[in-house]
This record gives sequence, structure tokens and C-alpha cells, in this order.
Amino acid sequence: MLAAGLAVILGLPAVEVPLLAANHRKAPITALDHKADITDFFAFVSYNGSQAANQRPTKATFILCVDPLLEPANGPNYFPFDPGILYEIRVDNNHDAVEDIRFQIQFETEQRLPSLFTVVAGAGEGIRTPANSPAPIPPGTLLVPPQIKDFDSPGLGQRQSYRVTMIKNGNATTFTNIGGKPLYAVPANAGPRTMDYPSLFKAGTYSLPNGVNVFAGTVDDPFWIDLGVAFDTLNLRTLGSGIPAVLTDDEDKAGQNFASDTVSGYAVNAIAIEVPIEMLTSTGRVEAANVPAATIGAWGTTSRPRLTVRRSPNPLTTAGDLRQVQRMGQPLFNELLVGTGSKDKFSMSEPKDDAQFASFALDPVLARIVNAAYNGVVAIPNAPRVDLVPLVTYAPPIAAMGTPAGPIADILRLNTGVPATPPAQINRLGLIGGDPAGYPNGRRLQDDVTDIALRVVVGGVLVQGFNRFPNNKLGDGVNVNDFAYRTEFPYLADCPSGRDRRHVDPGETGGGPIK
Amino acid sequence: MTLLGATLRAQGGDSFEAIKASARRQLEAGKPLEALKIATGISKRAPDDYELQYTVAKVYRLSGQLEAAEKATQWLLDLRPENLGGLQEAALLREQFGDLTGAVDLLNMVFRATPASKYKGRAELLLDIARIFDKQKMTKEAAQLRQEVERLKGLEIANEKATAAAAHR
Repeated sequence: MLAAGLAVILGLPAVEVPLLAANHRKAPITALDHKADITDFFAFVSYNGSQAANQRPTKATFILCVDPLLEPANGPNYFPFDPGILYEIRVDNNHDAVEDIRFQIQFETEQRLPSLFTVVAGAGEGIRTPANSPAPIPPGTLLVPPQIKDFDSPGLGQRQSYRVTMIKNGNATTFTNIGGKPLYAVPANAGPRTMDYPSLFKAGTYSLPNGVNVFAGTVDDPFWIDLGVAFDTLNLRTLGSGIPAVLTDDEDKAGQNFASDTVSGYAVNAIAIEVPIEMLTSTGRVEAANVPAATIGAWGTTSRPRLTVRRSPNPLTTAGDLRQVQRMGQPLFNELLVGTGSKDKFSMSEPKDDAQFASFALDPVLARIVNAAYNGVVAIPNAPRVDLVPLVTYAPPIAAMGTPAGPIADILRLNTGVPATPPAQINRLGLIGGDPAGYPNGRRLQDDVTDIALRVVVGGVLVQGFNRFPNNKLGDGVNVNDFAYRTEFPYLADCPSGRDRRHVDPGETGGGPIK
Repeated sequence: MTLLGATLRAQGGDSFEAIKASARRQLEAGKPLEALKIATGISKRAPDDYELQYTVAKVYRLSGQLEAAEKATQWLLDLRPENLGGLQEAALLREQFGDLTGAVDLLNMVFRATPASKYKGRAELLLDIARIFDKQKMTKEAAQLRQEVERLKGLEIANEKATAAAAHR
């Protein structure tokens, strides 16, 4: 009793912070901090539905996805962006793996219907109480607001707005909406009675002055992968070839799935920003692909306020002191290459210091497991895997000849001088499929980074003598996303309806075999 | 030894957990430098391991290497901002740096997050706070805390007896 009341008795400050009861946690940090968990990062030269081949690039798009595997039926209460997180997209334009430009995004949340059990409610033109409505609410009272169609709809109880700030050359520029109106985030799609999600999506896609476009909201998770096989110790399915993890020619070329897209039917929170390329390059111009300055590097980060050992004597000077929770450049790098004991350190480190993690990439355990698990059917190159170095430095075929390689760094490199491929001609295998605008030259939503990683990292197809069957047919059997992407900014697909979402499982149509 | 081989190394006396435990034992035995040598030796294999980093931070502080202790403790706070060990280490460093109010802030947070049944841990925290109160000339408040510490020690002894009796039932 005395102990419980000591803090009050002695006038100790009541600083409220969430505390873990246990002091021993081994799980990677984002397993404990889903809101800050980056699922994917994309960077590509913008395109549109009527895109012509070899059309001169003008803009680039970055998409940062966070908060994985949101089950739409479980929303929308629990899917907001976290106002306590600073979301950033960082760009290196002089090849030293240090950011020269930062796009910072921060959210605010309003609770407009604090007495309601859910953060969104709506139906048609609204629902009024019937004749037998118990007192004190009289018959004919508007009980349920009209379907949510825009951000001012009364049924949108939880409304999030955000600010986008560009930090460049030490100067901060806030991108404001036309007329100074707030930028709103699109909520999760509760279902067709409650909201007209496509209208909200459209209203939440903003064209700002100075040619910048932004979007933030809960959308269909744009990633696709048979995740279950990856974490069942690479227990990949046996498809048409009769060899596990190896596709037939027809399966390889098909725009359909032969295995389960584990992420199907799930949502994710996405931030997209499209900017003129002149804003990104060190020269301030759109450069031709054969000019070193055309190639930039990009990655996404999430950061939270930091508790420091030393308090500043002037509290004002501590503003902005943050700890980086996670970062992502290349897809699957931390997830599939970095050892469990180093994943947090990787997440909290800066790309310029990635040489300390080089051993994970130069002798990938992933490749050895596939080699062993299938009894040597898939031969792998010898370590050290120097063939992977071009993926972690500025080098051809992504960057122009003569581009400084820079340090080994897990950032996504994009040659902004390479014209976008028209949507209908996009090859899911990107560069190794002969599509110069695809991963690892940046990363588009359509790039099948799982199959590309299997072929490059495991199969070693960049090594002489390894670009052959079965190494060049490795794949998980998931070739496309479950939802069609848009062909213009922000490219993302609608959030699945919470009422009607569908997860495609193994053993059902489109989910592939259970073997 | 390949990475895979290292990863799959038999979980015997040279396993990661076993080595980590030996570092902890050295620290408890009053041999901080031996503990530090073991802990830093294996921390390269798992820089994310909180317990290991806690050992490193504590040893640095106890051996007077305050700059290294601050760096290690800050890493702990960045890695797991809510971890009690890291907060306690940060508090004790603040005390060393002369930030007594800031030290009490953190110790109070740790105290309130420590379950009431952890008599020994709570008593140690109150002693830390009482020591700082003495430095702040808050002798009356420090005496109150020490009185509570005695009560907690009594509860700890009673708890040990009850646990022992239950084990022999």
C-alpha cells in the first residue's frame, strides 16, 4: 500500500510511457512495432495507361508501405497511420549512399464520433429510427449517417490528415494543398454500405502545386508472394515441372498464379509521392540514362521519438531527436538475407555503413538451403558471391558507365533517364526479363521480386554458366497480384472490402496445390 | 565454417545462450571485465540481443568507462525503448552525470513498471532513489523510502520461506 502510494507521497513525476514488463526480448523490433514495420518500398519512373515506349521520363514515384497484413474485416478502427512515427523517403543523388533529399510525412488524427463504437458508419442516404424506436430517441431521428463519400462525410469518425515536407540542402519545404486545405488519408474499406471507397480514393489523391502528387491511405497490399512456403524452410511447391520451386516455360510466362498469394485479400498502409525528376537529380535536370547523374538511390524509413541518456539542458534543442525503427531499400534484403540476431541493428543503421552486413549477402544462407533441401538439383555459385555486388553499389546495367560505385549499401537504385515501359508490356522479371525499367532498376509494383531474388540470389543467373535450367526458372508460382493496379498515380489498388474480402488459399481455385 | 554451419552449430556448451549465460555469471560473481570480454566477443553474432547489450552497458558503467557505457545504454534505449534494464542503466548514468532529477524520473518509471511481487527489485530501486534524494538534501523523503525498503525486505524473506515450504509439501 505504502509502496503503491510512494510516487504520490514523494511527489515523483508521473511520466507515462508504455513499459514492457519483461526486460528480455529477442524478437526483431518491428515484430513488436507493427505500425513502424515497412513491408515494401517502390521507386520507379512514372507512367500512365497511354504511355508510349521510349517516352521521355518526367516524374518519378515512390511508394512506402507499412503495417503488414491488415485484415480488412478487422478494420477500420485499428488501421490508422501512427502520428508518433515520422515516415520518410530518402534520396541519394550523388552516389555516396547518404540522403540528399528527405520527404517527411507525419499524420494527425481526429476522432469526430467519440461516442460511437466504430470509427466509420454510413448507409445510403442515412438510416432513421423506426416508429417503435424506444425513448428517448424519437422516431424519424437520423441514427446512421449517409454513406461516406468524401472526407467531410459525418460518418467518417476517425479522420487522419498529414503533412509532407521536403528537406533539401538544409531547407524545409512543406507541400501544401491547393487553397491550404488539409491532405487526408484514405481510411480502410469497411464495406460498400458504409463507404464509397473508390470516391474516397479519388478524393485522397492530391495534385499539389509544383507538380507534386501525393496519396496516403489503406489500400490493397501490392505485394504478392507464397509467404508460407518461404517460412516453412523454403518448402516451395511442386508445380508443372515436377521439381520443387521450378516453373515450366508456360508457368513462367503466364500472367496468373499457380500457387497461393498469401498476401491476397490483405491491406496495407501506403504513402505515395510523385515528384518531377528535376527535383531529384543533383543537376536539377532530367538526365539521359547514360549520364551518371541520372541514377539516384532511394529508401524508406520509419522513426520514433527517442529517449536519451542525457537530457538536453534546453528541452527545445531535443526536438527532432529520433531513433530509426526500420528502413528498406531493396526488397527482401533484411527479411531473407540478414541473420535474426542482426536484423534490428540493420534496421537501425544507415545504408552507408552496410559493409558490416556484407557477409550475409556474399554467402547467402538462403541459397545454401535451397541447394541442400532439393539435394543439389539447383546448383549454386561458390562464395563469395561477388555477382551480387552490382545490386548493392551504383554500377551498370542500372547506373551509367563512369558512375561512382559508392559504398556497399542496401538502397534501391533508379536510373531516372530510362523511359518507363508501357503497362501492357511490363515484364514481371524486370531487368533479367529484358525490361530495362524494372527491378533492380528501381522497383515497380508489377516486378516479381520473389522470383527475381530466387533466380539471382539463389540461382546465381548473373554468374557465367548459371543462367540455365533450372536456375533460370526458379519461382514460387505466384506471378501477379490479386488486384489490378491503377495505371496512373498512385498506381495502388483499392483496399479489399472488409465485408467481402477474400484470401486465396492453397487447394482452392487460383491457390495452387497443397503439396 | 560457413554461415549456415555457424547458424546450425550444435546447441552445446559453445551455444550462444550458454556463452551468454557465462557472461552473466561472471558479472554476478563480481568479475565485470571477464563478463565484458565474453559479452563483446559474442555480441558480433547477435548485436540485437538485449540481454547481452545490457551486460555490456552495465559492465562499462561499473568499471567507470562512462563514455562507452552511455553509448551502449543509448543503443539499448534505441533497440527497446521500454526495457526496464536499459532505463535503469540510463538513470544511473544520469546520476553519474549530475542529472539527479532526470535520474529519479527514469527510476520512478522503472519502479512503477516493476510488479509489486518483485520485492527485491523494487527495494533496490527505492534504495537508488533514496541515495539520490540524499544528494538532493531530501533527507525526509529518503528516510521514507528506506522505511519502505525494510518492509519489502521482510516480504521477500516471508516469500522465500513460503516458497521453500511449498516446495517440500
